[in-house]
Amino acid sequence: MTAMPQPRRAKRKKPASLSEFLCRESVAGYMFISLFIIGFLVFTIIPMIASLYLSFTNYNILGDAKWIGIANYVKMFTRDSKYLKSLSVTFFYAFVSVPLKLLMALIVAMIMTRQSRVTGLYRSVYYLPSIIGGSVAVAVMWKQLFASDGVINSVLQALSINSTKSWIGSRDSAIWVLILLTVWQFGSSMLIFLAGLKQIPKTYYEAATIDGAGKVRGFFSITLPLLTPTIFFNLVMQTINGFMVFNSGYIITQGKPLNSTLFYALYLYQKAFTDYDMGYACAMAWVLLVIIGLMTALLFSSSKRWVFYQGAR
Amino acid sequence: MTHMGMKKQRMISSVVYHLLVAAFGFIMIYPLLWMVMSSFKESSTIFREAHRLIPESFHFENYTNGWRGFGGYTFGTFFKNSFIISVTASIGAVLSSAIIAFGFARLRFPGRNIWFTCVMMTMMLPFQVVMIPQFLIFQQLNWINTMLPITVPYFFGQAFFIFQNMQFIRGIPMELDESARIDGCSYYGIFVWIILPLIKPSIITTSIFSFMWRWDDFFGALLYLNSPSKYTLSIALKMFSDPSAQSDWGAMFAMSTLSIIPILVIFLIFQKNLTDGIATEGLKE
Amino acid sequence: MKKMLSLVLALALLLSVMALPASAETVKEVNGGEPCTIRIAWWGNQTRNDLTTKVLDMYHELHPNVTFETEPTSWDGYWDKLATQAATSSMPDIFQQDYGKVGSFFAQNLMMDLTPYVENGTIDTSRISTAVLESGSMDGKLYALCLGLNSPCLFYDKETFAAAGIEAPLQLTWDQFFSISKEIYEKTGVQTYIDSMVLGMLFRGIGTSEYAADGTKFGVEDDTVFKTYFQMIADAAKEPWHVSPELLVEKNPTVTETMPIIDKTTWDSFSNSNQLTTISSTAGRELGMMMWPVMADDTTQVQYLKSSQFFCGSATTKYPDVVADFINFFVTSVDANLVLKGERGVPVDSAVLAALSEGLNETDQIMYSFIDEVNKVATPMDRPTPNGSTQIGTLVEDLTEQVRYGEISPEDAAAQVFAEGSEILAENAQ
Repeated sequence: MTAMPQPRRAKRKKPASLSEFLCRESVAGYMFISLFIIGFLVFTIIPMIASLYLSFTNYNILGDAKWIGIANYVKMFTRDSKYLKSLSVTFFYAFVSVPLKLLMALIVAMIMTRQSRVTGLYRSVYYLPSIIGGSVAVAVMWKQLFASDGVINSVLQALSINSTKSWIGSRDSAIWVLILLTVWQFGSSMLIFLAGLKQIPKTYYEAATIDGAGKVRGFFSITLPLLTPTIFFNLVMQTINGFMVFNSGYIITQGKPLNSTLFYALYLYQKAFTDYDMGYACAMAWVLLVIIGLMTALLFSSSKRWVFYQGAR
Repeated sequence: MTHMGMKKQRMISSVVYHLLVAAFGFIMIYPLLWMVMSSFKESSTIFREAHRLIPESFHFENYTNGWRGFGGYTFGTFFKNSFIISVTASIGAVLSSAIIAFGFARLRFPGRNIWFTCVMMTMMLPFQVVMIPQFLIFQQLNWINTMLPITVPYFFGQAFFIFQNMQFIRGIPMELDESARIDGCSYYGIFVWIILPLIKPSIITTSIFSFMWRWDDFFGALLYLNSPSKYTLSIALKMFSDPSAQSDWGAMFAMSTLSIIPILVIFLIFQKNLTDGIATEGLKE
Repeated sequence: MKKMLSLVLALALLLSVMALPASAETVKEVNGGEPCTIRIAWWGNQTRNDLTTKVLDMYHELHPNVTFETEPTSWDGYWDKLATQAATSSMPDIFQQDYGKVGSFFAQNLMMDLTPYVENGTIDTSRISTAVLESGSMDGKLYALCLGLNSPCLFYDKETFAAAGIEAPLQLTWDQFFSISKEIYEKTGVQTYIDSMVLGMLFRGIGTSEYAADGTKFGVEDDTVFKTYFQMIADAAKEPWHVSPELLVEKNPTVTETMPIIDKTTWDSFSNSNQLTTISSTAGRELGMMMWPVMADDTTQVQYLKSSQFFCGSATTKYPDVVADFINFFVTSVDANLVLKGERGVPVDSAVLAALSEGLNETDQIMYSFIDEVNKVATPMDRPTPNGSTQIGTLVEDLTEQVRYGEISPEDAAAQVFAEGSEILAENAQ
C-alpha cells in the first residue's frame, strides 16, 4: 500500500492467446490472489456480515434474534461501566506490552546472530516460552511466581528488599504480571526478526567495513533501515494481537482483581458464552474492529515516512 | 594492544556473552522445566510442591495414566490426529499465503487495496462472534465431525502469513524481477524461480508458526470434531482438568510435555536454516 | 423425602445380606428394534469417561439396535460447544446438564419434555423423591433427570480445630461462626473465608428464595437481604482473621487445587458435599463437614439436598423413546450404577442407593452419612434458576470483590444488585 512499485504500462493489444491474457499484470494479480478471494467469499464474508447484523439485535445465543437497532452500542458507552473498564485495560496493555515485546525481540535477535556452535540451542531456549505460552502449566507457574509467597518475593527478600506484596492480587500490579508474560513470549517476533536479518545481503556489511564503519554505525545505517519492513510487520501484527489479547486474562486471572485485567476480548467472551448475550458481543466485536482498523490505518499511513523497501524505486 | 591481548579480550567477551545468554536462557525456560519436572511428581502433590523444581522422587505413572486416554482411545490416536491436521493445514497455509502475498506485493491491479483491507480485516474480528455463522456454513457443506473445517480454510491463505511474506517480498530489489522480465520470464515464472527461493527465511518461519498454531488449536477442533476417535491433543489435554471433579494434573503435565516434543523437533529442524549467519546466500548484485 | 434416605441406608445392610438375585430387569425393545444412532455429550474427567462408556456398552448389549456416538469434553469448552450446537440445531440427543443452566435452556425450549415417558412408564420414578424430580422440572413438566444428589456444606480443617481445641458442631450460627473464626485466628493464625455462596442461604433462611417463582423478579421486595450479605462481607473483610482479597486472587477458590483450605491458609471452605473426595485427596488429609451456618433469627432450615447434574434429551431428537429409555436405565438400573459407582453424586433411586451403600470407602461413608444427616432436616431445594441468573451471579461476584477491597459501601452494592438485577430479570422475562 505504501511505496508500491510504479505501474508499468500494460500492453493495450488485443489478447492474442490465453497465455498472453494470463500474463497481463492485472489478470496475473487476480490469479495470484484468487485463492484468498475464494476463501474470503466462501468462509469469511458471510459470517462477518452475519455478526454485523446480529450486533443490532438482542440475540440470546440459544434462541432467536430480535432487532433492537443501535441499543447495544448505546448501552456499551452509556450504561456499562465494566465495558469502559475493559476498554481502558486493553488500551493500556497494548500500548505498554507491544513496544516492550518488540524491543526485547529485536535485542535478542541481534544477540542471536552472533556465530557459535550453540546458537541453535540458544535460539530454541529463547523460543520455547512461545511454544508453551497458552498452556495451563504456564498459568499455574506464572501465578506461583508472583504470589505473595512466590519466587519473585523470595528473590527480593534475598536482595534485602522486604516484599510480601501480592503482585497478582493487587489492582495496580496484576496487569503488569500479564504484560511481563507477553514480553516473555517474544519468541515469534524474534524469529521474524531473525528471518529479516538473514535477508540483508552480506555485501552491504562488507562495503560498510571497507568504508571503516563500526558495528554500531553499521547497525544504524544498514541493519535498522533494511529491517524496517520487518519491524513494521511485527508492529502491525503485535498491535492487532495486543488489542485482541484473551488467553492470559482467561487462564490466569479471569479479569481479577477488580476487573483490572479484564481484557476486551475476555469480556466479549463472557458476554457471549456466560451471559449468552451474543448480540451485545457482536456489537463489541465491531467496535473492536473499528478500533483496531483505525490503529492499523494509522500505522500504515505513518509507514510511508519510516519504512524502507528495497523493492521500491 | 598486543595480539595476545586482543585474543584474551575476545575470549573474555565470549565467556561473558555465553554466561549472560545462558543465565538469561535459564530464566526463560524455567516454567518449562517446572512443567517437565512436575510431570514426574505425584499428581496430588504438584500444587503443594509448586515452589520446588526437582521432585522428591520421580514417578512415571503420570505418563502411563495419561497415555491411557479417553473413551478407549490412547494418546497415540490424538497425536496422530493432531499431526495429520497440523501438517495438512500448514502445507496449505504456507503455500497459499506465499502465492497470495506475491500478488499483493508485486503486481498492480484494480481493487488491490480493497482486497488487502479485507485480508487485514479477517484478523480483526474475534473468533467467538463469527463462529456460529461459520458453523452453519460447514454444516451446510456436511463437514461436521470431519477434519475439513479445520484444514480446508487454510488453503485459502492466512492473513498473518500473507502480510509477512509481502513484507519480505517487498524487501527484495525490483531489479531482479526487471531483468527476469527482460529475459522473457512471466509473473508466474518470476514468482517460482526468483521470489520463492529468496523468501525462504520467511517461508521457514511461517511453517514453524503454522504448525505450532494448528497443533495448539483448541476451539476449532472442539467445535467441529465430535467423536473421541477424531479428537486432537489440545482437546484431550483439557479433559484432564475438571473443576467439578478431580483434575489429574500429573497426567496433564505429562501429556503436555510429550505434546511439545513435535513442535520442538519441527523448530530444531527448520531453524537450522536460520542459523548460518546473515544471508550467506544473499543477492549477487 | 425426609427420613426416606436414612431408612434406605439402614435397609441397605439388610438387603445386601439377602443377596440380591441377578437383576431381572425386563428388556423392552426400543425404537421398534430399528437401528438408530444416539449422540450423547457430557463433561468430565478420565474416570467419568471410562465409567460412562462402560455403561453405554452395557446398554448397547441390551439393545443391539442402539449405537452411541459419544461427545465427551472438558468442562472448559463444553458449554461453548453446546451453545453453538443449540444455535445451529445440531444438539446431541442426550446431554449432561448443570443446575445453573436449566433455566436458560428451558427458556429457549431446547430440552425434551420427559413427562409423557414418566406417565407411560418408560422412566420409572417410583423410587425417586418428588423434591428431586422437581429440581429438574419447569412449569410442572420434567425436563432434566437428576444423576446424583449433593448438599451444600462447609468443609473445615479438622487439624486446625484440634490445634485450637475447638469442637466442631454439625451446624453453627453466624455469630458462632464469626467468634470461632476469631478464636482460631488468634490461636493458630489460620484465616477464614466467606464467599458469595452464602447469599442464597440467607434467602433460604427467611423462607424465600433468591428468585420469584416465575423468574421475572427477585424473590424479595427490597434489598435488605443483599444488604445483610454485603455487610457480612464488609465486616469480615475488615477483620484480620479474614483472608485478604489479594490472596484470593492467588489462591483462586474456584479451582480445587488452589482453594485456600488446601494449604491451611483458611480453615473453611463453602462448597458441596460431593467435593469431599476431591478436596481431601488434594489436601492430603481428611476434612470435616458441617452444615451451612444459620442466622439466629432464621425461620427456616437453610440446608437442602440438591442435584449435582442432570441428563436431558434434546428437544429435536428423532428418537425420544430411546432417549427416555436410556436415561431411565442410567438412573434406575442397579447394574449400571454398580459400574458408575456414584461418581456423579449420591444416587437418587432408592434401590440403587441401597445396592451401592455396601462397599463404600471411608471418605464416601463420611459423605453418605453427611447426606443422611442433612436429609433429616432438609427443606426443599430451590427451583432451577431463571434465565439471566448467571448475569446476576457475575454482578454479585464483581460487587463482592469491590466490597472486599473497600471500593464500594455494602449499602450501595446491595442497591446496585437489586436495581440492575431486577432490570436483567425483567428484560429476560419479555
